[in-house]
Amino acid sequence: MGKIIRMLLISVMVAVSITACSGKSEQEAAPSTSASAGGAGSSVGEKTKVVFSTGIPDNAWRRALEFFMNTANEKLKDKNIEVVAEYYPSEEEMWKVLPAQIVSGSAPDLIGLNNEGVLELITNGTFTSLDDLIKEVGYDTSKLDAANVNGWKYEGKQYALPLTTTISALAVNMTMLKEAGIAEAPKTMDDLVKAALAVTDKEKGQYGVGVNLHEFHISQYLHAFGGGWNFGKDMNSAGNQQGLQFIVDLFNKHHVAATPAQLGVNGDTDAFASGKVAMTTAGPWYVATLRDKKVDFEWKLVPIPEGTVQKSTLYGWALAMLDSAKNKQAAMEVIAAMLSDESYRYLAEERGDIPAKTSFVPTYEQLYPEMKVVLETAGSAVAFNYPVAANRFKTDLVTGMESIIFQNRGNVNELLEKMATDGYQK
Amino acid sequence: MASTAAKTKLSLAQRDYVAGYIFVAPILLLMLVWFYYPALQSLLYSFQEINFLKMADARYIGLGNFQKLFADPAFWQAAKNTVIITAVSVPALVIFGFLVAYNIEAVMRGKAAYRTLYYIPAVTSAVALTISVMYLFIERGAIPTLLNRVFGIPDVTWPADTRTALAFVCILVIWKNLGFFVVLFITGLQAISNEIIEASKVDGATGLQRMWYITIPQLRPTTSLVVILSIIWCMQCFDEPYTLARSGGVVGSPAGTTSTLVTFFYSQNFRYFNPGYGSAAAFVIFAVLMLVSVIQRAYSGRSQDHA
Repeated sequence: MGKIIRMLLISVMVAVSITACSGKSEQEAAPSTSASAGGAGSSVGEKTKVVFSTGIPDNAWRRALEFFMNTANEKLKDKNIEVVAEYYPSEEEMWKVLPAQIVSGSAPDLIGLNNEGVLELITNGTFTSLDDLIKEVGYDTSKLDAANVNGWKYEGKQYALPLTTTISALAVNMTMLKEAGIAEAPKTMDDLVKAALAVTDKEKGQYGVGVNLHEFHISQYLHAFGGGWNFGKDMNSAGNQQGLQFIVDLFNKHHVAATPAQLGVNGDTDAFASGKVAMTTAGPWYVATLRDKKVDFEWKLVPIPEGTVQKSTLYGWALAMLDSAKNKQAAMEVIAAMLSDESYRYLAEERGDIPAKTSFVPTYEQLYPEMKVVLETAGSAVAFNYPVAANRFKTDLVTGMESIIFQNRGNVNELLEKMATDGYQK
Repeated sequence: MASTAAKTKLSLAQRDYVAGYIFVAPILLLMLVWFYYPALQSLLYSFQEINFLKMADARYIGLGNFQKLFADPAFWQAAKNTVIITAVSVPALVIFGFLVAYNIEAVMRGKAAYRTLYYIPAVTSAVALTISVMYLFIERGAIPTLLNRVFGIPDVTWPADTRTALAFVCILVIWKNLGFFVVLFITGLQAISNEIIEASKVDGATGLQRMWYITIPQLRPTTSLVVILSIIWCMQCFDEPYTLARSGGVVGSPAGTTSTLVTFFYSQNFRYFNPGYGSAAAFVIFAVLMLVSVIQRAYSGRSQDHA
């Protein structure tokens, strides 16, 4: 029996040591997470640490964020506040990990994201309202683009402050259009169809319009016909029906459209840069990408053509504070310091992103004249206004449109009716 | 005195029995913490309505998630696709796995090179493999053009077309997993006694007869293992359809034709923040896999009894 007891003890010791090892490695693997467990209130010596997280699509964006944080840390030296980063490989990964971090109390204090589908996070209380904190630190939001700032408001409360502004546009391959005898970029959706019909040559694998069946691109057509998602209300509006039907017709009636996946390329930017499509809904990121790729054709970015109205979509990439942040004042100080003039200048001059601070927009316009005509539409631009359950909404919209276009299953009225019935409120 | 009493109470067999439990105790403890507890928690979630972002507001809804699940067309579409992937890929993996292994064993030179060649996809990341293979199946590419000319299959970009996307996933699943099953079959082939083979040769059996009457029956345990593993892997198909979604659309694009039970479960949990509903889906997958395993074990046990 003594032997058995000894063996039992050894087994328990082995198990405990393995568990202890795994616990230790977890702590080592996520140092910034453990810092955030204490939230913004956790201190190293006298310093208050604020953990900032975001998904990183590429190294250029990482460099930009590090510049913003280094600048902020310089400014916050006297206040003994330090911002530290905890990156996720992508925004998709961030949404996989963040809910578990929130539940376990190890979530970061601040996150960076765009407002394509943030309502779910606001209504669930994941984000904290910044209004009082903005006043406390004395940050002047009137210097930021009003439409962009408003895009981060819900029920009158401010939930994030933007670093960049993004305005949708139409990218046009002027070389292809001119070869087909069309001198001007389309101003209306009718012009777009005419131009698309003129340039489409399926034998050559060349299409008039590249339509990425993604909620961002689908929404551009809706907005052009006066439609919108309106947080899930009035989904089956005439504008929405017209917008979706226009997309279906591009594929099935006019036969002038192809998706990037059908063309075997990775996204709409690549489809356009490859010269396989003459036109596509786009955004400011096209300028830097097309310049980098040194494409051998003449291209233009123009406002989204008018269906029944001219409407671009305006949104931004912003900093939001999680409700679980322990020291909200310190976290707000970090937001204010990251939204510095240096950051906005960097965005305009180094990144080629439209700075959300309006005083830096002329610098951007000077450096990126391709976007000037698009920026003029900002005043009348609208926000996405996706409903609360944004991801479920996006899946149903995209899958529904794919079924109609590729399988001839149902029609846009049925799809919108079904989506209106759901409402996507939870 | 007490230890003397204990010594007299436990027989040698009993002491071995206890010692066995002690040896497995550490791993059992770890499995309890890392597997059984989360599984139990997940089972509890499946009876609740929960928002991942607001766990404190969870409420018990009985079988509500399961009722909703069985009435959800997206779930049935995912289930149908999973069954098709399994029905197509499992026989292909078993047949091609065996044939490739048999031929590798038959060659005199370069066995190791062939084995490595077939095993490469198995150790390649599914994401990298999916992206690489995607470029071979683009409209007007060599493979779609050839298949169009020979079989009249539409010359389209396979992953993006609703008629061919699921077939493309099956090709990926077979491509990725074939190497592993080839290795299993090679191991099984090497375990067959040479004496039986030699005796059959003396009796005048042809190569085909030897394969049919000796090799295949002798490989029954290996084949059973290959069948059960390939069914489980096909039922758990995730990486390939998930990677396809990265080139546009949503998970399951185009039009849900590449959704599987696991992508459905993933979307519910991590995209819609709905772990209650996602857990219900996970337990249905678990139940189906258990059922398949039990049937397979029962069948395999009976076959071995017959043998």
